[in-house]
Amino acid sequence: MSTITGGHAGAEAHGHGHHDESYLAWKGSFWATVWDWASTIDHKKIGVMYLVAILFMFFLGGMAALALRVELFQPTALTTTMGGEQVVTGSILDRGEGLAGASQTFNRIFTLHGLIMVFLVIIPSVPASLGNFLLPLMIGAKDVAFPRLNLASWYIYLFGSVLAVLSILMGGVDTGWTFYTPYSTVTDEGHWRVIWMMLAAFVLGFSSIFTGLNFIVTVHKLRAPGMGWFDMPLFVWGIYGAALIQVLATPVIGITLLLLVFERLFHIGIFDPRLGGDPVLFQHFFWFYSHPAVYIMILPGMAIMSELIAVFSRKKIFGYRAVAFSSLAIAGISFIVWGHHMFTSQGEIASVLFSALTFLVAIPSAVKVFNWIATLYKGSIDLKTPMLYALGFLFTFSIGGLTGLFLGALATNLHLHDTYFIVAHFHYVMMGGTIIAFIGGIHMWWPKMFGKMYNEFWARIGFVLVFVGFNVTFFPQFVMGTQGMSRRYATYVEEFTFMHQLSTVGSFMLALGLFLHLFVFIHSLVAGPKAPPNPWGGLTLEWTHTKSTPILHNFEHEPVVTHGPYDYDDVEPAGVADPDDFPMPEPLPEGERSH
Amino acid sequence: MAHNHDNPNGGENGGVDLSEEIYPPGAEYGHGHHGHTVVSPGTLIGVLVVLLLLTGLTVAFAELEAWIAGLFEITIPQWVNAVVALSIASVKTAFVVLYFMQLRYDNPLNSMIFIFTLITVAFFLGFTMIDLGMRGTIDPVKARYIQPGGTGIETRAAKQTGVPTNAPVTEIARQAALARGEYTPKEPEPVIGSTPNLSRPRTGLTLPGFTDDNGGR
Amino acid sequence: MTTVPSGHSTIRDASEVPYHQRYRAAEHFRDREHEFDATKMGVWLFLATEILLFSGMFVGYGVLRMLHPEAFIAGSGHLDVHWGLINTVVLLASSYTVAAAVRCAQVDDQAGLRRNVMLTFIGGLVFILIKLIFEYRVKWAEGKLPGIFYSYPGAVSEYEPLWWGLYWGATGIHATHVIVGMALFVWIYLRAKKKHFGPGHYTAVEGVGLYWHIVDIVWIFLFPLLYLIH
Repeated sequence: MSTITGGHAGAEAHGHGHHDESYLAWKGSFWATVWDWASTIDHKKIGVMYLVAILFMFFLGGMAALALRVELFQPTALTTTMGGEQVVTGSILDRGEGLAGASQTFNRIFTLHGLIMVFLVIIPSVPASLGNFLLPLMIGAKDVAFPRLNLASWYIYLFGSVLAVLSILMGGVDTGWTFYTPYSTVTDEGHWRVIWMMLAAFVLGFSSIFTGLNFIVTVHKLRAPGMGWFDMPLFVWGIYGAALIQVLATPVIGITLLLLVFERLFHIGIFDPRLGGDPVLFQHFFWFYSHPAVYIMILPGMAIMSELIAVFSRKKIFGYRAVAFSSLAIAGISFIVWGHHMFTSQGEIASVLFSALTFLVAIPSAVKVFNWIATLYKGSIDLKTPMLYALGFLFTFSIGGLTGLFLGALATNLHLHDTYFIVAHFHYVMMGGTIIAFIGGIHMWWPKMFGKMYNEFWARIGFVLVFVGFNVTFFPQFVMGTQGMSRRYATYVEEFTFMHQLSTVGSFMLALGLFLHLFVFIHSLVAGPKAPPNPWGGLTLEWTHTKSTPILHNFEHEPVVTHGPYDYDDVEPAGVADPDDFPMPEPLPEGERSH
Repeated sequence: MAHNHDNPNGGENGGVDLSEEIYPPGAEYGHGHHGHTVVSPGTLIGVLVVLLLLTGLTVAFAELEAWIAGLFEITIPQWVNAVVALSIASVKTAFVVLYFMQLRYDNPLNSMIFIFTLITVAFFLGFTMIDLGMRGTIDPVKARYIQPGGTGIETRAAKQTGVPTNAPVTEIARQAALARGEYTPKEPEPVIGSTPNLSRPRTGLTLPGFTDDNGGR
Repeated sequence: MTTVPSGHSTIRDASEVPYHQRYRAAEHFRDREHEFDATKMGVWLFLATEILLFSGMFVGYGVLRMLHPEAFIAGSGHLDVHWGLINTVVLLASSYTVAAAVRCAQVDDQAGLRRNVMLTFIGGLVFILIKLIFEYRVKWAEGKLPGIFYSYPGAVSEYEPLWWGLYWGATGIHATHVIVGMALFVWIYLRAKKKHFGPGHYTAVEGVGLYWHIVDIVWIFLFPLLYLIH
């Protein structure tokens, strides 16, 4: 037992391994390293493990999406052959069970795609991976407030993923990711896979709650000395807003799915009209979580955006407080607009109310977009890959956001409800918003996370493929939607063939771009040049006060914050812990070191 | 118990100067001088007594209301019962939260968490009720409540009897009990107190051509 | 021999110092007070999630009662107010004992702490036993079960099975919380026996206590909604 003397001596006695070792350090043997990672309570390692798992799930969900696009390359149809035999044509999913069989498989695949992408990828994506890694670094903390809870959140995520994958292996679920009753309570009778999937989503909710809870307390209680609320990077504000929603909305999906499991197992009747319940009540329950969940998805994307724009324009962010408060405004408004998913099913008074409230969301969203654009103005813009993604986000998110206004208008919505217009809209927001920002963010913080630079040239090529591919995939879907192409069908009338084929071609381009990024990352890990502590010249603490990669305890000395996160005009070196270790931000020579 | 500097392992602050400059006022660094309030035993007992009295009151009111309604043969609207019961429950909750959970003496931040939670619940309850309670106010089509229908789940009782599976579950249960000889039908007892339908105005109009076969919903 | 420098410059053996005074905050916190504050905030956020979890049951209750008041009134008539009242008193009393336990920890009254934690556990146990023996068992035997399992022949309203669905659902989820709370009190008791809690460190008692109060509050609302309406 060590002598308890207080002060630094005690802190070092607690240390795991060497105090100034990189958090990625090898622990001597393979199994020792595996155990070190499996039992870690270090937020950085948990963030990296989340990143790997999320990217793997993104791969699975993406494969399902490609399968859907291939199926939709031609309309699935029943054709009579020369011999008078009826065969299914235009389908890769036909297993000799006729049209219904192919459609059933299609239903399972889009459900799989939706469930994986929503619950296993986008909701945890930015908060659990980049958020976990960066949030304590950005506010100058040694760790999140409850490190063990953080590890628990990661294992719960794993457990939920296993449940979800199990239900897929057992044959898949065809309820759609929304679990609408009565599909979810009566279809697939005699099988447990729907229940497994509901339980998977239920379990994943806990993971999300734990992450959010941790972040809120961390932001409130663990900011470094001198860091007031308005000295925090905007990334923290965005993650904080999302965390508020995670804590306040996710329990409702918990009780909803629990009641749904009861409904399916015992038919307690709350959602069953036969017993006096109401299926629309389920939709209220579901969207009370799932609409705020949309903002759990987009707020962290916006959080990344503020950092990308400021760092790569080398300019103080325009309207810091407006951007910060708009995050909170979005979090608040997210709770009172859920009814706009139900314009066709709910009563007319509620529809009118929800439609009016929905337009409120446009205000804080637009505040953010305008402020980012104003930040770009007269900045010294550096078109590195992360900045390209930021500009791509501005384009795609604006389209996604503005089409959201069409859908929020009651009359237009009745026409566009459940068409490809909706599909295109939310892909522009989630894929074009969150995932685009996420990829940009991974590029930006890659050197910090792994201590290696990536190849700028090929990453830029990857961006072009992703951006063009994305728009070619989803823009035609807007057009099809206005013309009446319904979502969730394996087949369609021949007039839509060209648009669908365009969309399919785009999706493969998108996939190619994403794989290219994967190879760039793998190449970087294997053969990338060593990253300097601050390759982009950022001013937030993770750039100015930590090494690439950070040491186990993040900072050698507790940082004292003396300047704002975006004070590019008047930075004094006084805030730097050790000027020799961390020379002040100095942008790399244009495109040199990374090639 | 405000930040006891005399405790044996004082100096945990790691040599960091906890001056006001580094920890500006208003920032939450948790070593605030609000300290921990020790609630006196008298207060705790007092709160318990108040809670028990309020519990008695809410039960007494429910009984009293039924008794008055029967005595004077009047109909007391259903909402009276609900409003009184829930008001008393809210007061009890306030006592538990303020004294047992010590929100009154605690960091205001925790009160804010609690209040925002209640606001969220209010939105959840309010908007859902607005939808399901106000259908058909403008558009009569929407007044048509969802038909009791056929999810086609067979009940246990239905398997034992020949009752069609789309009959109400209660009816199937009754028929099954009759078939087993465990039940003799009798007149249902009159409901004392407020009548069921008073709190539930019929909303909207029925479209011409629709028969009102669903209890007026 | 390990020594502890104290504020009074007397040096004692570390093992003589009770755990709650030896206790050091996790290293990312500044001191114990800082950790206590953060943990308490975390517990409050967790309580927020609990409230929202139960809000689903209350919204379901509100909406369905609005749609089928006759079923709810008829169904409520089948519940025995006396057992509901006794259970309410039991839970309120246990809420008091847990508040008293926190107080005992704050003033270093170890015997009082153990006694109050034990009493709270017993309160939870009594609640669950009353529920199982005098309520669930009876209702189960009479066929007053949710949805399609309903087999009680004397229904007044067609939608009574729905009422029983809500009754079993709401009280079942609440009872699960009570059982979880009891398990937590066992843990607290075992630690209290080792004198882990005292003025210097009683975060766990405080946190579990807050959880128990929320479980109590849920019952404060469930009691009138289930037993007293008519």
